[in-house]
Amino acid sequence: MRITRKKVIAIISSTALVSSLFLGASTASAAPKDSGTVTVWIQGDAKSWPAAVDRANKMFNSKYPNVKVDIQYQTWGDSLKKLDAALVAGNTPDVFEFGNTQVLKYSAAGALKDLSSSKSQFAYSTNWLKGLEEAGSYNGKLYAVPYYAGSRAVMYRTDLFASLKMKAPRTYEQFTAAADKLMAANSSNSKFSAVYMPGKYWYAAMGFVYDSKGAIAVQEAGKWKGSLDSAASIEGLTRWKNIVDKYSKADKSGDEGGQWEVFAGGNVAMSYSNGWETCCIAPQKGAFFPMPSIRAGEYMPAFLGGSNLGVPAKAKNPEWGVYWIKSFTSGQAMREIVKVGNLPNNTSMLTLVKGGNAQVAKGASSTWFVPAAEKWVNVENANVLQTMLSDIATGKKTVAQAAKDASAEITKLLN
Amino acid sequence: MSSATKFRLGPKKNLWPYLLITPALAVILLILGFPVFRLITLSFQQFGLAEIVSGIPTWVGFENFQALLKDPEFWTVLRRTFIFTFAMVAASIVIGAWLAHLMLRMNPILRWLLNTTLILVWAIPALVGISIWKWMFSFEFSIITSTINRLGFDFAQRNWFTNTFSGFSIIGGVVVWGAIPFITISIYAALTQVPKELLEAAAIDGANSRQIFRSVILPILLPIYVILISLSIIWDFQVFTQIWVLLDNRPASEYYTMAIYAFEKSFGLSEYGMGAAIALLMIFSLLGVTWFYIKKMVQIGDGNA
Repeated sequence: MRITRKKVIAIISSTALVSSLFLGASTASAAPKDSGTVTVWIQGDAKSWPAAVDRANKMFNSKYPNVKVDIQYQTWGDSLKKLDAALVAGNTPDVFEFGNTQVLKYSAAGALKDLSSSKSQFAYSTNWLKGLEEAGSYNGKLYAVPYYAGSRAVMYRTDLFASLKMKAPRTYEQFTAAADKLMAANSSNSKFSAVYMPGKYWYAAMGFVYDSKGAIAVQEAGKWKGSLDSAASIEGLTRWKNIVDKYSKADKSGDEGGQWEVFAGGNVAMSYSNGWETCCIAPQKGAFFPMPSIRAGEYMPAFLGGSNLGVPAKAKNPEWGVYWIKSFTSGQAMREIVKVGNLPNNTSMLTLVKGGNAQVAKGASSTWFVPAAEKWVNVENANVLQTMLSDIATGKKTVAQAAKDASAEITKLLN
Repeated sequence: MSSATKFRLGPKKNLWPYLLITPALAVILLILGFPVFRLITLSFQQFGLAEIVSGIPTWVGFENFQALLKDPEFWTVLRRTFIFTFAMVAASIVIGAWLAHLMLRMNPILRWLLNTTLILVWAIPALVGISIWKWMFSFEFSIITSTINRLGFDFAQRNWFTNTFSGFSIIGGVVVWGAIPFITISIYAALTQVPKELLEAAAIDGANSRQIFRSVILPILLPIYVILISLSIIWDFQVFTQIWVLLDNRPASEYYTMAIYAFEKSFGLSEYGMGAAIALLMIFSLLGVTWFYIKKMVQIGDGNA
């Protein structure tokens, strides 16, 4: 039922697209190309959902049989640098995947094609995840289409909890009480972490800040101001430091990159993890519960990570780019993306999320997001939060001092 | 005599060398000249994302340079880079020379072993070598930490990069480790070229080994040392990959050297004009050091000869 309806939509929208293509072409006084190559730069993560990529390419090629899809997998570390270079060289791809915290700078600079007029053609565009849609919009216009999302919850060792006759905690007090019990029961193991919390894990630490009603930065009279030194933020950071000090043997200057590997090693009872991390923790058995808030009955806000797909304004074949995105975010492709353990780009497919991920999806009802400042990505690139957190975790600076320094830096970078 | 007459008789023939060199020169100019030209123009522009998109740069004169020279972070990074470079060059030349002299006196089998090891180190791609070092000093799975712990110390799990001194020591170790093969083999090769007669003559004249080294070996080896030291300065001044990879592609600002600083400004913050200005200043300070150094060494060489 749903598929046929979508087919109809696809046909209607593709006719719309083709006619708009002709209209555009007539002004350019050249016949529209029907063969060539559409260049797609998406992150290598998509190699974990090849079925979705296949479906997208099939759908794309059934409309443009003579257009070759050239998918070039990127890495998160340097894809923006490559995009900048491609923009200078006038050699941009037709589709580019942004992390949802990266895209605003590019939309604001006019580097992306305005997709507002074709918004309705994208599947589920009426109930896209709000966080992702906002990330891809600027001044009320759509510049990048929600692709998929990811969120975090607490992954815990079911066997350890069972041996202490504990259930998954539902309040913050239960959470710390469980951690206390686990530490006591494993006091002979010097490497044991009841809560594995690396010192640079800013997605986790900022959750504590937002749970205390603090924020990374706030807008005041049109200017951004770092607000990690507010009383509420400091309260959150102090709670985070307590977790690090009392329950974690993780690297205080390290990040969360390989935390599932450590979990697999058997010295970790709980870690703040992505839904997919259960894939790789054998021989341990893990399940998820949403991280409880300090307010009873609520969850700690989780960072809604995710990706958006945009078409660079200078793309050579923008029509093909738009249609490929449409194919890749179609219901069929999205189903494949969800199967692998991601959250879909829309609310109506959240029910498809199964297993441990269902708990992650549940926790994603309460989320936080980075400040919607055009220059936010500079704060990420300058490692301001990581540096602050590792200074706090290692004790190099007090919470108040580190927060004050970071806030000043953030104010400087955002304006 | 005959070549001089040819020179005067055939001015046409003289064009040949220039003609022959033209393609090479053109290629070099294109490959090297254009980026340098672009770098210089960029350093006088404000060139961020907005300029990239519009394609129209904003000329700002010396503003980038002024801002840099006023920024205390720039001076901290510059000082750090100089200290790091000096330490690395000294360590790699001293260890390299010591190994070379050792090789001269070594049992042939041992020499062969050392030679092979050095060449192996040289043959390992930089990235692979650095990754191996990174493993050895990783937090969770470090063989170094666990060996130390097994010897009876208690280092628990240790992040060697939390402390910048131990962090830079490891980075330095990787840099020196990578530089030693070339330096050792070059000095060893030069040492084997010192004429035996000279050494014998000096010994007969009653010179002791220190005098022989100072008055016979050193003057002959001096050109090699000049080349090796200036190359080392150039290499160590712009060390990038070692720091970048060892610190997970996200070095904290206390690990910034000039190369990392320029890269972060350019690509991290999309301030390409500023990044270009840093790179230019870096080139100039490097030229300054090397030029001063080479001049001094050449003077010493002339004095001894």
